[in-house]
Amino acid sequence: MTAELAAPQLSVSTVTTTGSLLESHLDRLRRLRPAVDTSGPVARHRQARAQQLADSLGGWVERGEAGAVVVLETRLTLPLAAERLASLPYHFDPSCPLVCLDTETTGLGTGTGTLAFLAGLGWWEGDTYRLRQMILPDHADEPAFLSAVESAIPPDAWLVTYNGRGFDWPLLVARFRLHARPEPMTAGHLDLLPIARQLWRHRLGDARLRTVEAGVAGVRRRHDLPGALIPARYFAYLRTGRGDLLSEVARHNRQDVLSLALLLARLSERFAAGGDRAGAHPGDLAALGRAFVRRRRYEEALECYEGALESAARRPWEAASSVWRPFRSEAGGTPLVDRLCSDRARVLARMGRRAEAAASWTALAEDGGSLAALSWIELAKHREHVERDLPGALEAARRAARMAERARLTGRPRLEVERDLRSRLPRLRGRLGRSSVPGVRLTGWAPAGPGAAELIEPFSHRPGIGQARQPPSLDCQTGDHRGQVQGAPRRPGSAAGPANPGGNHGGQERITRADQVTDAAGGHGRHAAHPEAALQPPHVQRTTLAGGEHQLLARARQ
Amino acid sequence: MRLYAPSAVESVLDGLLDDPDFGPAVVAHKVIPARPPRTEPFPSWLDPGLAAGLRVRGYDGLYTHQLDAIEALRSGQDVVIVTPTASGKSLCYNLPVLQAVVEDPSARALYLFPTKALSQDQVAELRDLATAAEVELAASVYDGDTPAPVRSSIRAAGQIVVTNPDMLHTAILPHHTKWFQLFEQLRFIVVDEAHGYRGVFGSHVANVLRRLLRLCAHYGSSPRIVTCSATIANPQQLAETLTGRPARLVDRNGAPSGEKHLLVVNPPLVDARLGVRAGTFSLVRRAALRFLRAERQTIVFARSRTSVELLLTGLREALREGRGPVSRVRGYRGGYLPTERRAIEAGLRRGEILGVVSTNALELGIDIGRLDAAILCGYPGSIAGTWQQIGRAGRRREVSVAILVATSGAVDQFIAAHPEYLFDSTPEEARLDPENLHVLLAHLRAATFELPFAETDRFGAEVADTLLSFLAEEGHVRRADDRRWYWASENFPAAEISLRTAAPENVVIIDTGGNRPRVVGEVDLFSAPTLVHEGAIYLHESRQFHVDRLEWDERKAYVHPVDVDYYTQAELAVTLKPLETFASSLAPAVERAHGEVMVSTLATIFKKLRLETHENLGWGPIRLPEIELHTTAYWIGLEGPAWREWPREELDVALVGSGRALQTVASVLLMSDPRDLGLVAQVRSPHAERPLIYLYDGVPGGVGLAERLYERHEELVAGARDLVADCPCEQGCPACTGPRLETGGQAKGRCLKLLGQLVTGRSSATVAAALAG
Repeated sequence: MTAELAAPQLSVSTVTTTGSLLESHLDRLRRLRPAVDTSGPVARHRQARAQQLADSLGGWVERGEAGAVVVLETRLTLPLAAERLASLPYHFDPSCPLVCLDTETTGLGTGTGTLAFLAGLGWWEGDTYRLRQMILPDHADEPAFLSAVESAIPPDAWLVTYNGRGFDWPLLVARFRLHARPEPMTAGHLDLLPIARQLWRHRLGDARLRTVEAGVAGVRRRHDLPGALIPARYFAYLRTGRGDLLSEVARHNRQDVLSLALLLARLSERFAAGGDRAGAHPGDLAALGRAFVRRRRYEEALECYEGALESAARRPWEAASSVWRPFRSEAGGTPLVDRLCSDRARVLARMGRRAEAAASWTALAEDGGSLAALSWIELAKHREHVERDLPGALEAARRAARMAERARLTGRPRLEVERDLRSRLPRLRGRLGRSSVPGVRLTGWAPAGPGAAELIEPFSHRPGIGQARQPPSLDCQTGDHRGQVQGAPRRPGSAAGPANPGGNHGGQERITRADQVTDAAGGHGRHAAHPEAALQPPHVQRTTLAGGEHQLLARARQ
Repeated sequence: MRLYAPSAVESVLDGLLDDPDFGPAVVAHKVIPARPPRTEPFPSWLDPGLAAGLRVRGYDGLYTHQLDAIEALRSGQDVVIVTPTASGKSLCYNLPVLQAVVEDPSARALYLFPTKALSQDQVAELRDLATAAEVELAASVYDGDTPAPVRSSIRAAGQIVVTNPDMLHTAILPHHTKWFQLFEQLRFIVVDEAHGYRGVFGSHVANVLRRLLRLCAHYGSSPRIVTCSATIANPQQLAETLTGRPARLVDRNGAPSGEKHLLVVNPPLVDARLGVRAGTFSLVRRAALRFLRAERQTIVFARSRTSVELLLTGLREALREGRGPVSRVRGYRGGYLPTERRAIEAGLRRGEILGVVSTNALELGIDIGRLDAAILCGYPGSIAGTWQQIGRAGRRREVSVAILVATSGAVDQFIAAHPEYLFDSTPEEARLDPENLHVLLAHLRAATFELPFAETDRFGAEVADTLLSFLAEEGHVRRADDRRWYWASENFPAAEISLRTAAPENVVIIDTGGNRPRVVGEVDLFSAPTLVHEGAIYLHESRQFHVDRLEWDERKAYVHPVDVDYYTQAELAVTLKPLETFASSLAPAVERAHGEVMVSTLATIFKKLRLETHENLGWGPIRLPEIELHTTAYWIGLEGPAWREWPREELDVALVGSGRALQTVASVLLMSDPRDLGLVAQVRSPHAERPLIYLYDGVPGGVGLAERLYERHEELVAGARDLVADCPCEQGCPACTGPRLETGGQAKGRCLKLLGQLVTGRSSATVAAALAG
């Protein structure tokens, strides 16, 4: 038998590092690692440490059986019409005591080694905002710190935080659990971060509290301590016992808690029902409207949109600062006013006020702006499903198609529109009956970019080849198409006639019939077929406009 | 002649032994008689619903080891279970866990498996049993692939959480307050496949378990620990070192097994004078084909990924000619995509797949059912590994066959010459050292992050105060006014520790031959230079791909399918360069030192070898960056003129042989795994300009093994000398001087001579006792 394999078991104790051996190992490790400066005044006696911290920050020490906490307090006059906040589209009960909360921690991780060492809480007593900060003088005082935090949060309180749902509160909960204590009861939690993202992010660079408080409440911080430096300050304080190291941290936190109150006040003044919405940024109101829509509160949404349109008309420079990008696939963005009108039209439709919605779509469509193609589609839906006007619907869809085509030729394809039309156009045609829908041919969407015009042109001569070469997706190519491409507007008949020789699947015949059908449907067709018709709305449609619709748009655009 | 007809294992074996090309090559034939099942009725305390569920699943009683385990757990003891593969081991812990859940639905259990695949298998099995017993059970895998919304529900309500040590270490323990429901109600911790937790990895896992148990104590739970291990020499010691608690050994296997034939086969000498032997592959193929054609499920183990593919190709060719079950023979190895692997495992269980050629990837407890025959292409390198591979064959009632075909390598030839070595020796020990200072300190940091330490708190067996004072000097840990130790840093210490040394990165292999690029497989970063270098033939499921481009920085290899009659083999050069000497001493005539080194691995050239004949068709260069391991090493050599009396070729053998002996003794001394220490012997070290033996730490940066070898130098060298001297072999063997026996069979004498010169002190009593055997 070989020795190795029959080796008896070595007991662990033979390799256990005994005292002196351990010391020599540690000594060697000490030599290998870079020296860390841990010098500084040795930590004072526990009580002295807390007192010294309180003295240097201008607070006082509260002592309990479980340790000491340093408390700072500020009172400000900051009236808040809290009851108004109930009207906002957020899950929130302002009849509960509101407690603003922000913590400073020893790191951004949420592992149990991360500690909240400063908790700033703010609440209202009448018009007074009482801002109380609790600071942990030493690791050992954490039970007292947690008790102090708990006692400042009444069980029926509604917390108000900034990113507190994801960070501050779970971290505090973890601390309570670590000390085998239940977390404080609360009635609810309003995190302002998602609200800020929703309402204000569109005109600000980001949604950090610093950015938002500056952009919304006009707060300017001077000599603010960057958040990333805060943990190091606290560790330095722990090492040295120098309380002044935390004065900037306390100031930073005080401003955070104050900003929470200011943001609430701003929400109440500007955005809640009964507030001065006219003074709000039109983009903010538009965002608020959308928040109402999400909660299916359409009346209020409509108020917001209309308020926003008025506000945009009064303050066009603000409106211009907001640009939405409705679809990621599309370059550019949508001017606020267009977006507002379309949102308003959608809400009107959901409220059942379909005629008004249609009028709004018509205005947008004829305006020829960035949402015109989408508006034509909406009109097509309206005409098809509400008015039961199939030829009208087809006409609207064709207008949209033409716009999409133009967009593609200019190198900015409207993919959403194209996708929609690819099913809508054939369906509409199908519903109208095969023989009665001329003037619409199947071809592919012409490729964008240089040479696009050349590729498209032959299609009008030889649609058969065009079909074979392109996937049989949907296009709407009326006879005047060539004219558009070549930039020479012509009458529909004259453009289509020579371009479609007789033997070509009866193209000539179809064009004629298209004219007949559209004429029958109310005379949109002839106008629509004219290249300029897309840019200049025909008078027949103008008459269907709800009063003031155009004025609104026009005013808003000034 | 009909080549393909189902027949019984016995008749296949008879045919094989009568085969004139195979029979004479059999050097040992051992028959393990059939064992009847030893069963006991269900214990009276077992929930009737569970018992009914077990009956539905086909259990009429429990095997003796299962009953031993659940009774011991019932009485509040930890257990360590050692029984062969597929003996119903998981029931030993699933049953008590289910019983606990039935008694109290708030009870929780934590299962630790080393790999993801095993976790998935286990959860499936557990759910089946729970369904049969009509027990409502929330059992889920919690690993890196678990989606975030599922995670929170597992934290809140997962009764059985199945995870791996790495996930426990970085995701669960540091966030324990989110897991408080689990920790408060934790009744069982299951540590399966524990034999894998050895060496440095094992030391890490032991410390992770210390952290886990510390948190359990904080939350007021005292779970029982069930450790399961494959057959090793010291299962109980392993479990007790891993968990730090006494455990009751359960090894009274009651599972039945059919008669089992073990064959050791040595390819016949073709040229006795030159020692050239017939090919191992052809014998393996011959044996495998007989079983496959008889519709007998067969697994073939090969030692490398290339061998797997070559054997697979050969088997498929032969089956195609004989119209055999070509598509029912599959390959299996690391580098196949997970879905591919799962499909193969399932196919094996259902019997749809008849044969599989695998690396030791199938050694682990992945459930593939029981097969008729296992054929080992070469000695796997350890006795424990051999038994695990052999264990894949073995039906409960029918006869099974396991065949080890030796290669012409020295270790294999030793086994072939001494087959009793295989049958009679104790398998290897699994060693780990939870007190390794580097590992211990790293986990102590993480433990302080998780929960403060009181002055008298222990971490493992020792009071942690001294070590914490040491950590406080770095500033990460702080003693607060209540004299307790707190974490005082922004760092997240668990993220700074990786439990495993292997790089988690991999290179994906993309087939560009089809309509669209497609990922065919993957290869770990370390193997990529030798397997998917430009110009390589990459084999996957016996399909050949030519590697067109290896984008090293992007970790992508682009390949296209080809059909050629050669394969490629790359050569690897390992160089070691000392960077800094931390300490050295020159005893008379012997020098020893430890310090920082750079170990570089460079793929240099590749050869093109013809399939079947393996003749060399040409070669090409490999241009890839070196893979560097920056670590610590211990080195030893003769000082001064003592070298001059050594002839060069003798020195080569002596250095390598002595190095192997030193490596073996080092792993005993340091309670580590031989894989944790690398060995480089330089006949003429380019830096020291003299012969040196280096033992280096396999972990980047090192975990202090080199330094401790330096300190225990005398014990080490004396131990190595005693190991070689006391070994009953005549000319050196795998247990002492290692595999380099080719050079004349004088290894033992030369090693003894060199080691004798290196010994300066007396062998310490500890080592002498440890190695006396």
